[in-house]
Amino acid sequence: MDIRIGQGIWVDLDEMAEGPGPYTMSYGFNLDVLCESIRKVGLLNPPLVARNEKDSFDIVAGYRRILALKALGEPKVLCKEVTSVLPSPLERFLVNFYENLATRKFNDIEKAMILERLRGYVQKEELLASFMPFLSLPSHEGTLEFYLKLVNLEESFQNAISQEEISLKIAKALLELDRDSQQVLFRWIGVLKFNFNQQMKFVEYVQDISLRENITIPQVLSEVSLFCTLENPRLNNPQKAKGVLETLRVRRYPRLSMARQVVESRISAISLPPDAVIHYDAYLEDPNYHLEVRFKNGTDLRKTIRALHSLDELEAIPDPWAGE
Amino acid sequence: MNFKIKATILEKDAEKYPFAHRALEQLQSICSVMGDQVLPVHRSDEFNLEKETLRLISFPGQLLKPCPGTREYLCCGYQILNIGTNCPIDCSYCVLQVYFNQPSLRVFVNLEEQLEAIGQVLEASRRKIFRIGTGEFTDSLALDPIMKWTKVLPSFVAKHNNTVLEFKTKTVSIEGLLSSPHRDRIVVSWSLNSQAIASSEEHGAPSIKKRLEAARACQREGYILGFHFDPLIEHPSWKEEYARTLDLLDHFINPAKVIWISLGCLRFMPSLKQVIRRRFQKTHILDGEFVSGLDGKLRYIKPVRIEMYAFMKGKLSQWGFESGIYLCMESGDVWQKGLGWSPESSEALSLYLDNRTREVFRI
Repeated sequence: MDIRIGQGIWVDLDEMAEGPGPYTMSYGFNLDVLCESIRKVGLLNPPLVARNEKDSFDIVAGYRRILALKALGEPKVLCKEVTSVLPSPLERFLVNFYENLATRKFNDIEKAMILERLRGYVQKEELLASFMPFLSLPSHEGTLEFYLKLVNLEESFQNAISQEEISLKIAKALLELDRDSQQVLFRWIGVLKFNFNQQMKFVEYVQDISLRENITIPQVLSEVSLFCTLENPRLNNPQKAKGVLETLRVRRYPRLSMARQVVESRISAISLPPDAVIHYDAYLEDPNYHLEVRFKNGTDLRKTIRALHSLDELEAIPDPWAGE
Repeated sequence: MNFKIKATILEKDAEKYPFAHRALEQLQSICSVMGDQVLPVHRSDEFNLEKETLRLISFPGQLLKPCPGTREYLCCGYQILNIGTNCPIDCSYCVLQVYFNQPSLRVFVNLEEQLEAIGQVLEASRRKIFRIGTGEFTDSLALDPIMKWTKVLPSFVAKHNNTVLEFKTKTVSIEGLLSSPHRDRIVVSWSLNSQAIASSEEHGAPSIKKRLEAARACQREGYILGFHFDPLIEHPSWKEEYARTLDLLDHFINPAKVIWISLGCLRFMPSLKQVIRRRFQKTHILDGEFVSGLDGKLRYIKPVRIEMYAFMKGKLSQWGFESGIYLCMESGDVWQKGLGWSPESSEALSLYLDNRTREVFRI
């Protein structure tokens, strides 16, 4: 195929089929920069179009350019018509695919769309061996299946993935759950705007509690104290996120939480010199505490050591699990 | 055998080894045998471990290596003789599910060829005791009816007076052992658990009673036994459940002819959690309070481990077994609180078990 021999043709933008059509692969993008570029220097590369069965045009390449032109109120666009140069749907799709591949990074929903479309044209083996590496994905059937599932997700979920508001790891974890659980977890993640690490912890705690207590995930998340944290007007969003995670952590690790509380309360009750800090292992696995002393010089250090030496309260520091 | 091998693959360079041909003779009758196969570019399913496929392989590396302990916990100084990887038994908690990145049962048919070099290593340190085991990366006996390791390895050990070999298993495949003339410095050990855990989590493994019946048969034939309660798993009524296993132990086994019993609470690499959740959706083995240990593995919080060890130690003492109880990959303070003493260092633990070996086998 040689698309250079495609014919230049002015197309009414109204004549273009609605939506991205069968060949384009853009999702979750922002048109502002492209609009600004077209406004300033005009359209540099003509979109490729092909006539379809309804006698309108499908976009072969340039979906975003056409959307930008529509947004700018342009009535027509000079396109290159490739109906006969690229007769098969696969050729049209591949032109768009390679053009995009060379010029930008795909987000994960776009990768999913690409794999879903290609599945209709090529054998699974080829998809795995040739196309997945192009998309920077491992040639792995489980990965392919996961991406294919992304195509059928609700739009809000897809948007969150394409905007990287939820991690792919979390998307994977959520997809393994029933729909009710998926939705309720997704809502909480959206409301609390957890970072990726917090998302992982949140889902893991909730899932663990659900399995251990033999209740559903929506039931876990119906705990009153979680809603109290969520609706507490004195907390900002990051504080609410931390509060919710803490509530879940205590429920998931009751003994560890209690032991830590004991250690923490004993240590915080000690009037340590300002330059001394006592550290302990968050999981109380390390039997040793660690003392950190900051000092500017030897005199300073001796002063802190003397202050520490005179502190009788140090004797109250328990074995990490003694309060259990 | 409780499991089926549906296909055998003779990999490149493996066909020249007699071990491979002996295995193939055993296998012809039960499954199809394929020629050399190139590994596929991709796995069909990351959670399909292809336990019904046996690959006969010439392993290019060293087959004898120290057990990969970590310096954060006390390690017993065991040596692993790597006869193969992966296992036909499908235990939900098994670390091998994520430890190796290649599926199928894989056995190393160049073992006999390597034994000469291994022998030189053993002879080079005559004063050192080598405690060697084959049951770390696979079950020592599950594939013995095919691979006949019990024909090859005991006669090898017989030539090296500073070496004991442990066959560690959950199976009852003891025919090879019972017909072997070499029984000195061979330890046959069983991995034990509560019957509740064996039934729900050790898929394809014989019941605890059957394991102990096999152990008794070996003991009656003069073999020295070992037992491994690893992993100990916190589950409903775990004390009663483990006590029942210890009652069975009392019923079937004479403690005087047991060299060691190890205890280890469930611990695993974080990546195993997802695999367990996917492959064994109904399991409750992940319910406990697991925290990240000093080696990065998830393990029960300390008081749980200490309680379990102390309970087991108490029961084993009642049974009459005192010397030879040890903990696998634990810290000194857990030893102290769980067993009442601590070797304090990996070297001291290794020496403790070496001395136990000398005492039992009169080395």
